[in-house]
Amino acid sequence: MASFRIREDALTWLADVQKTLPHGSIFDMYYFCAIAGLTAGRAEELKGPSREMVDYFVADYKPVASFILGMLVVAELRLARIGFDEETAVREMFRSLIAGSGENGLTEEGMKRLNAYANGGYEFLAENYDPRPQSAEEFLRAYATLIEESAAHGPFAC
Amino acid sequence: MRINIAGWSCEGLRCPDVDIDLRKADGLPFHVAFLQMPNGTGKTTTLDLLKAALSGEAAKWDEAMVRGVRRRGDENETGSFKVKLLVDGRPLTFEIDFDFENGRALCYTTRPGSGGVRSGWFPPPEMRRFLDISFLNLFVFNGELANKLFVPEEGAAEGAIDALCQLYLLESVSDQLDTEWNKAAKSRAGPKTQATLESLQTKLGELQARKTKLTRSKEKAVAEQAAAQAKSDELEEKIREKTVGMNKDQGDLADSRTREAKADGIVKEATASLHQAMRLPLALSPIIGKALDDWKDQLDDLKLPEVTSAQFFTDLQKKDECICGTTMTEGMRIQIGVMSKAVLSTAENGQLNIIKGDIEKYRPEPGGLTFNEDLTQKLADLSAARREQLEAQQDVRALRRKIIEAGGDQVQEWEAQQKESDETCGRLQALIDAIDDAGLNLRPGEEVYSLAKIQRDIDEATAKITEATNTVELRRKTTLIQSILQRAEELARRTIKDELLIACNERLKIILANDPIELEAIDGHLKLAGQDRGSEAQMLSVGYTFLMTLLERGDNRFPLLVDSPVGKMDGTVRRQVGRLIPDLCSQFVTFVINTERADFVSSVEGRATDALYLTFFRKTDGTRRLMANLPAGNYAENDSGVLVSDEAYFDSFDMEDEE
Amino acid sequence: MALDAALESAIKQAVEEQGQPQAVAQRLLAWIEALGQGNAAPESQDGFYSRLFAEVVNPGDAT
Repeated sequence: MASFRIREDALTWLADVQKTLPHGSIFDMYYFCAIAGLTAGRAEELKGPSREMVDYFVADYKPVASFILGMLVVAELRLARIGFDEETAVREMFRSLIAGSGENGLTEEGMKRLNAYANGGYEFLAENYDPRPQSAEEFLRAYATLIEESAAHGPFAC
Repeated sequence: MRINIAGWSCEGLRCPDVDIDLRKADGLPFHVAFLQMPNGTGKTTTLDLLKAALSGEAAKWDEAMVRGVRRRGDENETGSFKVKLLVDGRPLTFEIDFDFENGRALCYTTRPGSGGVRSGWFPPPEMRRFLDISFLNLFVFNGELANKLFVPEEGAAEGAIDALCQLYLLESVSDQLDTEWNKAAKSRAGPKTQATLESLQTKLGELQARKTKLTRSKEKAVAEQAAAQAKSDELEEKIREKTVGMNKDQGDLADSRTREAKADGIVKEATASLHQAMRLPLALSPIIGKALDDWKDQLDDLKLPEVTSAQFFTDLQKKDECICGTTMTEGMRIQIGVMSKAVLSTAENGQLNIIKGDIEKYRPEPGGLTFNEDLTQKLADLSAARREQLEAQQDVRALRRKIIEAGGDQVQEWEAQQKESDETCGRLQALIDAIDDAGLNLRPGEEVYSLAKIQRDIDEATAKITEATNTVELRRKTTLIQSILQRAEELARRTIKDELLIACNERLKIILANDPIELEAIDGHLKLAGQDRGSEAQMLSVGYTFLMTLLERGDNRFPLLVDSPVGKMDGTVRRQVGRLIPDLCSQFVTFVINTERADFVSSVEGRATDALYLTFFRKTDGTRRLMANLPAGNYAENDSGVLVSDEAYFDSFDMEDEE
Repeated sequence: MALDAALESAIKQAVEEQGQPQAVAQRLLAWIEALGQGNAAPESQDGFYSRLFAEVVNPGDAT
């Protein structure tokens, strides 16, 4: 089964955030990048050094897994310009990304795309936040603002 | 078991030749023996030799150590040190013969019933553990030990418990189990697996070595960090004392620091709270929630998930008749197959239902804050907390700067030194954190500091070796026994500490009735109840009480032999400590110099059943005048020293008379 | 010289918690006691070891 993967550069860039975030984990860093990528509509295939993570949503993120999966489908539908009312296309897109079984609810393709959004999301964050964040407290505040702004212009905006 | 020191003698060594007898006429040892020895008479050497003889360690000394005890300026080729014990009333002697020419030390043991003098260190088996060097340090020591028991980083209290109660043996058994398993694994490997096995075993060896190294590194880092922190604290104290005139500023600084610490806590809490809120994507922007809602609504319109899943169609394909009753043809089966691919499977439908259900479920309470509003509130809270923190940090910096500058160059230098110590602390903390880290997020090829990761790798390598050598069952049993040993250690440690705590506090109620203090816990070090420190007298009383309570566990009785027990203390403390010691032990032998007599000796002798007063000094030009007043019949002299056994002489002895 | 009472009872309790027979506790205590008295020289460790393992019930079969 495919695993979540995060670019090594992203981990380096977020190292101080992870260190200073109470109970911060690598999955948190992945989440920040993935949500940034999904909201900004930035997906870039993962090439180069990357860190293999677990293949399941860790405990803190299990309750919100549906939203992440839903966001992935919506972002891909919007990227492919498929209307929500195009039944067959919607079904096909859903099926290509979401698995009926397994640890994480994603197909191989779905995991690949989510990892691509995480990669793109890191790029997006690094472009908009220079120099890299020195503390979790500072990063979270800036991140919240960035996401709110990018949501207004990305695939989730109508 | 009751152990007493009957005396000792030395010849040809750095300390003057002497024969010390601590026994009364009836052969039993004096309750208390004062041994007054001016500085330079060899107190420290004597203590070291006592421990070396009792533990048999001298046999392991190298040439330099052996020659190090030779009398300076002498060309004698040999020397000897002998310590005489009474063990449950029976004599036992340990002797070290020094061969300075060849740089060797030979040990001898004499005990009745074992054929007289025997070459080597051979205590009775039941006594061995009490003569382990770690244990000896509990009853033959200098006055610093009692204080060390309170220092967290020293772990002296835990070490004392381990030594006496032999908890270290559990680890010895565990190590032996691993050795046996390794032996079995080696012997069972077939020729096909030999090369793989060797490679795995090499890897396992390397991992175990790395584990040991990291464990030691951590211990060293913790100790060094404690030292650096202590230095930083000491410098802080110096700075504070130097600038003590600035009362108002010092007070303001203390207040600001409290405010800063509080602000740090609030920022941390606010960060955690905000982070938790951000884990829900809906909270990050209402646009996300709206888009998901729209998609969900559209799915409802499309009637997705389907009422009929792909399973229905694939099942239908297998039937002989269609649902309308028509006989199934090949063409119909193909068509149904096409249809089945066009709908979601049961599992996919199920997943979609879950997603829709979760989107539906996450609606804010009516009249309550939306998730985004809640997050916005938390953002504001964090910003406010951060502002407060920055202000508090600024105040602390400014006040400190003011105090430092008023203190002049010396204070500024101390501040620079303190900064260095703090940086060292930080560096060591980073190392400790790396070693304590779970090691879950390491880069490939990154050097591993995480002990947890090393242990996981050890477990993995062990499992592979087990598999390669068909020693699965053996490994399982080995692991089981090791778990038992580990659990037993936890249980034993807890019970012993609980029992010691109660026993110590019972004793302290009596000993310190007028100056009450209580122990709260024994966690590696001694922790006082309700306070970090007591008075010096209280701390020593607690320290000595702990030691003696521990030593008496299992109905054993040990002597206390202490070098300068009250050297640095004032009169009041000396009196208090002096009063308590005789009640704590059955034999107390102490080295003192004349300036340590005051207050201490009279307090001790007041509570002792009997006492011996010895004065011992080296024969030199400087001590020649002391030969004039020796009490007739109560002294022994040789070429190198004079030993006087006389109370009056003891009380009046002063190295600085007529200078 | 007997082992510390707390250590002895801790071994017995730990053995019971693992569902092993008390004979395992006795073999362990004998070994520990011998080590403590300096009587378990390397060549005699095998005896303590094999007697201990003879009493250990397979973890899967323990009560």
